[in-house]
Amino acid sequence: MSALGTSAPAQFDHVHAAHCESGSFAALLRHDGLKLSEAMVFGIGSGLFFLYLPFVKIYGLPLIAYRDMPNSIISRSAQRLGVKVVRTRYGDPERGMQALDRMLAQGQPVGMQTGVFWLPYFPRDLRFQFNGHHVIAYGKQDDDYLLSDTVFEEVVRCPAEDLRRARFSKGPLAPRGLLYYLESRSQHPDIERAVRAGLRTTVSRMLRIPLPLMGVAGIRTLAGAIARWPTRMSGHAARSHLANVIRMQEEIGTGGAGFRFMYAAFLDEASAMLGRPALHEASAMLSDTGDLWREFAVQGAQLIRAGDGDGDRNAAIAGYKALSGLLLECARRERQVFRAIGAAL
Amino acid sequence: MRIDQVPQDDSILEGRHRACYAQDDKGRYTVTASRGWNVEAIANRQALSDVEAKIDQATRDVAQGRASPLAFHMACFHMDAGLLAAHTGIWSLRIRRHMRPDVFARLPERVLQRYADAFGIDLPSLKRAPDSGTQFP
Repeated sequence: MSALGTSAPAQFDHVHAAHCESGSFAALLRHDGLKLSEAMVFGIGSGLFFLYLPFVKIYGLPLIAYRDMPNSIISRSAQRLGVKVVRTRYGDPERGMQALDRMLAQGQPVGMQTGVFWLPYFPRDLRFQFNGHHVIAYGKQDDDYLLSDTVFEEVVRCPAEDLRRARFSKGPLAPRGLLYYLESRSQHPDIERAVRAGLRTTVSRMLRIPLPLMGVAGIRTLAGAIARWPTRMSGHAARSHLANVIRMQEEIGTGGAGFRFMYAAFLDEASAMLGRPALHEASAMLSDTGDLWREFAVQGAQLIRAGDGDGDRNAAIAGYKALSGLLLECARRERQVFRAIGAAL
Repeated sequence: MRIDQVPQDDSILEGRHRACYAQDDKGRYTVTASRGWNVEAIANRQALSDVEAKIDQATRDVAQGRASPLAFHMACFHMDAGLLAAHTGIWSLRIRRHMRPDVFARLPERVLQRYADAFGIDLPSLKRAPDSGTQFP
């Protein structure tokens, strides 16, 4: 399709990561010579969050996120690390694909936003309509693009037509062909300062947004809602709502427990870098909280698998109430964690 | 989560692995590959069962003349009228009308082509009624 055809640098230092956006940006930074772990990029970019918007429905299920807005990890960490990122969106798919080919021909690895549903190399059961997936293109051979998709262990190939469809998928979070690459970079980034800024933003967003839908307050609101699901809707609908929470927490590439383990890894690194033992303690507390989130997923899955069972509605109501209690405990502990971090800064 | 607690269940990843953050004996975090977790497989199955129920319903509706093949393709591609409208630029109210078999049968080729392009399938596939069972693009 492209006049440029095959382009040269079929080499890219692929590193398996948990999450697409922080993993991809860490990979682009590493390619440019700035070695930071995925967890570090996630923390500096203030990736951790919680969001529950019951009135925003995605295919009939409420919007739940364990992380902050798409693309915010890149923009925040770039700014804090003194990295200038060029970001371009395209109205015309043809032009968007030509622009990609040009950059690859120059040997420039490029980050892209894509819709997962259209990516043929994804396991079939994970192909849902979700337009916020980040992946790096590093070369082209014949009509296949060579991709470093950090959520997989190995690099992958993707036919041009499928990639075009994925880059120009429509609907919520439509990528509009987004391409991004590093334009310039401060040679002496103040990483400690970037870490502190990342921590401060996350503390403030988890504890101080005066809306009971975000941060720790959002977890409490979800806890309240879960207890009501079995009485407000059919058993099947309640299970689908519950499955949606578990999927957002575990399925979409969070590193486990809705990014809580990844953030604990970041806190650990930050503690050593800044010489603040209190951050190490916060990391241990958040690890324990992550285990509790996992327990929530385990018990939730048991409720889903039980189905309508013998029709014992009271057992289901008790089950959802127990889940609600677990979430309240997660919220209580996360409040402690983020207060401790705030105090340590 | 300690490394030895990272689940290694046969799951939905088709032999691929997921990166998990887990702690080693000394409490340091490392990235560990996981084959999958049956908990996520259960949640995933629940979500897919909703999609499959819609595909089955659409298959029946088309077979019994209550819906056009468009309804079936929308279900297969996890799309409602709003999302298909975003993909095609056709108003969702019109799309809902086109889900009626009589209206669909009279659609001009250029409208059908917009639907076919959105799904990435050809015109004959778009017009064909599903035979049975579920399909996946």
